[in-house]
Formats: sequence, structure tokens, C-alpha cells
Amino acid sequence: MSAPLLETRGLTKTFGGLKAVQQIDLTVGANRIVSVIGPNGAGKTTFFNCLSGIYRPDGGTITLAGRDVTGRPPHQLCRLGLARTFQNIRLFPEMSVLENVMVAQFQHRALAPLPLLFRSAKYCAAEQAHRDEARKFLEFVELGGRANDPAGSLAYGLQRRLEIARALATQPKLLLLDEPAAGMNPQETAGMIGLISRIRDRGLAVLLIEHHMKLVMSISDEILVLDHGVPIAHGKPEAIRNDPQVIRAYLGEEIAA
Amino acid sequence: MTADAVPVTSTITAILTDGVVKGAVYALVALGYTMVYGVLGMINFAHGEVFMIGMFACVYGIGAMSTAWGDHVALNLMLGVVIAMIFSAAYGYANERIAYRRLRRAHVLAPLTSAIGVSTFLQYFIFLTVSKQNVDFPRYYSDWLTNGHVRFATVDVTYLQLAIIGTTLVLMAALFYFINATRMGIALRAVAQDQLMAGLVGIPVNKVIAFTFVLGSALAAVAGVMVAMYNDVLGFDAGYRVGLKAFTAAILGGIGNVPGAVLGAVILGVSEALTTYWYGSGWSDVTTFVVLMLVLLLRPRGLLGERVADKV
Repeated sequence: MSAPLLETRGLTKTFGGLKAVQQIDLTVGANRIVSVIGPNGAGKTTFFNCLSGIYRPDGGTITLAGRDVTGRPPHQLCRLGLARTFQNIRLFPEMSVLENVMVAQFQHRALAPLPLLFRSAKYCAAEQAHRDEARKFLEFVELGGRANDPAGSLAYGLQRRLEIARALATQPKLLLLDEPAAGMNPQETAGMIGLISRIRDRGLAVLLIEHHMKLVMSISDEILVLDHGVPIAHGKPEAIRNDPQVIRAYLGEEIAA
Repeated sequence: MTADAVPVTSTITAILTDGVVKGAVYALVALGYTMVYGVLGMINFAHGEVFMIGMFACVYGIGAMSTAWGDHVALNLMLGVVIAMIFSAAYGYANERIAYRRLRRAHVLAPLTSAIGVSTFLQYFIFLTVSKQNVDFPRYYSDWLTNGHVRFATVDVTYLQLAIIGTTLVLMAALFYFINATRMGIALRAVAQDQLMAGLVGIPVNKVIAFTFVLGSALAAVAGVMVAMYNDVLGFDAGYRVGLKAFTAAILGGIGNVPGAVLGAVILGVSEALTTYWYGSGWSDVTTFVVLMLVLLLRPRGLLGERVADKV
């Protein structure tokens, strides 16, 4: 088997004296959906921020497709095949839905100021291809009809879908989703489960932070549980569901005892 | 026809034309301020000097060409503009690379102070190495434009005035199209709205910012050449004065807002021309800043400042 898509070894990040995440070892292979769960403040988002280059880890290594990428800046990680979404949606709200997706395609379609100046036929064709491709991503997340609306005008659930379309447009191998179903009703959540499965079917690996247990249990291949920055369990959904340590972390000492 | 014989109405129209022409030039320079502010949230006080360098590059370029292959007016003028754009763009780029990029995450006062430093440095760099005196624009190149004119109803508009207004309009339209309809423009807006997120989706943020400086500087260079021809004279401190006016225009229209910069510039140009006509040129700067203060008191974010959507 070739090198796994993502591998972290002993990943650690501290803020002052606080160890936000410690010693996380995680391996994610292609076509896998791996969830990271844990109580609030467990360090899940910090873990994501380390992976996506927003934070520089204090210890440990991150390997992406066999390459050591520890401490690389976001745009380089993006180029190497990592994309993410945010818990509190981070779109470009003043741009149109279509433009939000087009923004994410630049690394695959270079920006060249000179051809732009001369507007060659080749340049115009490339520009058109770029738009068409962006529309395909919108259709994939079922936002095809809203292409020209301002992104900020979409309903909350649709903004999450748009954020995913934008992440997919960077053509990642690994997609990090930070609470994609937060604030969604059961129907929207079911739609999100379908969407994440379809993303996996495209051959991507998905790393997921989610509080919504039904979603986590129904689509995860494996689950990593964090508590106070420390991994306390790692395994298949059924095993995690019955793990006494996990139950204790979520419900408190007395109840579990 | 002597000055006394000109009917008052046509004099007013001529004054207004002069105001619009000045406004057009301020607008081109103001765009540089407003684009950089839109993208980086900083005021590039050295932008006026980039404009001034464009003036000098053009005049000295034309001088060199006229020695090299004679005075082919149209050819040399066009190449002169290109030379000015290249020089200004290079200075604007170097400026960002050397004086601002490392300060991007520093407190907002750090790049501002750096910009004031660069502004002073460039003025005296030109003063010491290029020319301590004012330099005349070669009249042979501008006379045909300033002498020839077209009559619209009651007012004579010189070819140069037409060229300035026309060039400005074309460049504005091109810039508007660029920002709103091209991929590079989308990247520019993305960086302006959320730099971190732009990086996360793979936009080369540093390149886009550098390009913003190059673009704004090239526009300033065009303005520089036009002002040099219009005023017939240029000096090391020309950028400081025009830069201050253009900066004021950008604030007046709502900094960060492209149409606002144009609107502010035209208002400024016209009010300046009218003041000069009524009270003499000494008062024109007074009006400029009285207008600015009034607008800011009534609309602190500038005339179009609340339409954040048009921010570059």
C-alpha cells in the first residue's frame, strides 16, 4: 500500500502553559471518512488549525501524501491537496456564489496578467472553462441555481454547502470539515450525510469534526476521541460508542462510574 | 479674442472644464490609494512619489529618445508613457516588497510610518540624484496638444484636456471591468475581504498584493505624464502635493471604494477650479480641506463609504 494521505505523529500545540493538543497520532487513507469528536474545548479545532497551516505545531510531524509539511503556510498546503471549511462559516460574503468557487481554482489555472491585457482567444477560452468548471462544483453541492446571488444572502445551511464547494474547487485529496452540520435541522443533516458520502465517492479522504452523533456514527470509518487535547480513544464507531472512557469524558465521572 | 470679450457663462464653463480635468488626474492617483487601502487597510503615503517618478521617467525618457532617433512626437510620447509606467510600477513594487511586506502583521502605525519615510526618502532621492530644480516638460511635445482645441457650444476644450478626460475614462472602465469581471479581479477582491481565507483556497496572496501596487503605480504614472504636460513643469515635490489632493479625494469618496475615489476627485477638482476663479489660487487648498472636513463631519465614512460591496 502506498503512503497514507495524512499522517500525524506526536502532534502537539501549546498556548502559554495550556496544552491545546498533545501527542496526536492519526493516519487517514484515501477514501476514508475519519471523525474527530470530543467535548467542547477538547482541542479539535486547534488540531485542524495545525493541519491546515494556520497554527504552527510545537511538536510532532504532519505528513501529507508522503511529504513532511509540518509548519508550511496555508496556501502551500492547499497546493499539496488539503482543503478545509470553518465552524463559523468563512465565505467571501460580498462576492457572488459562483465567484466564491472561482476564487478557489487559481492554483490550477494560473493568474497571468499579460494575456489578460491582450485578451487572446486562448485566454478567453480558459476564462470560460474556468467558469464552467466552477458551475460543476456548484451543481455537485446542489447550488447550481444560485450562482449569481451574493454569497452572504444564502441561508445558513446553503452557505455551508457553498463553503464545501469552494473547498472542493481547490481539488484537494483531503478535505477537513469543521462541524458541517452545526445548526442544521434533521432534514438538512440528512442532506449533509449524503453530500459527505458523495465526496468520499469522488475518491477524497474526509476528516470531520462534528458534534452531531447520528451523522458521525452513520458515515465514519473510524473515530478519534479527544479530551483536553489528549486522544482518549480511536477506533470504529461501534467500539467508540461503548468505550467507557469516552462515555466518562462526555457525561462526567459519576454517571459513568 | 481678448479676455474681456469672453462672455461670463463661457468663462464658467471653461473653469468647470479645468476642474473636471484636474479631477480626472486626481482620480487616477486616488485609485492607487484606495486600492491599496482596500487590499491592505493601509495608506500608502509614498504613492504621490511614485506618481512624481513617473513624471521624471517620461521627461528624461523623451529626452533620451529625442537624442537617439529624433523628435517623433507621437511615437516618443507613447513610449514616454510606457517608460513612465514601467518606472513607477517598479518603484511601487519595490516599495511594497521592501518597506511594507514585512510589516503586514505589525500594528497599523508601523506600515504608515514606513510609508511616510519612503515618501520623504524618494522625494530627496530624486532631488539629490536627478534634479534640484523644476524641470520643464518639452514644449515641442505638448504644444500641439495644448494649442489645438475643439469648440463645444461656448467652451474651447484643448486636445490635451480631451485626452486627459478620455484617457481617464478609458482607464476607469478598464479597471472596473478588471476588478469585477476577471479572475485576477476576483482574486484581488478575495484578498481584500479575507486574506487568510484567500491563502487557504490557494490564492498567492503576496503576488496579488504586489500586483495591486504595480497596477496602482502604473495608473499614477499615466496621471503623472498628463499633469506634467498640463502644468508644463515638474519638480521633486510635485508628487507630494498631488498625492495629498488625491488622498483627500479618496477619503472624500470613501476610502477603499473605487467609484467613490472618482467622485471625490471630480468634486475636489471642480471646487478647486471654482475657488481659484472666485478668490484666487491661494484659496484653492483651503477649499479642498474645508470640503473634506464638511463631508467627514456629515458622513464620516465618505460619500460612498458605506457601500462596502465595491471595496476592492
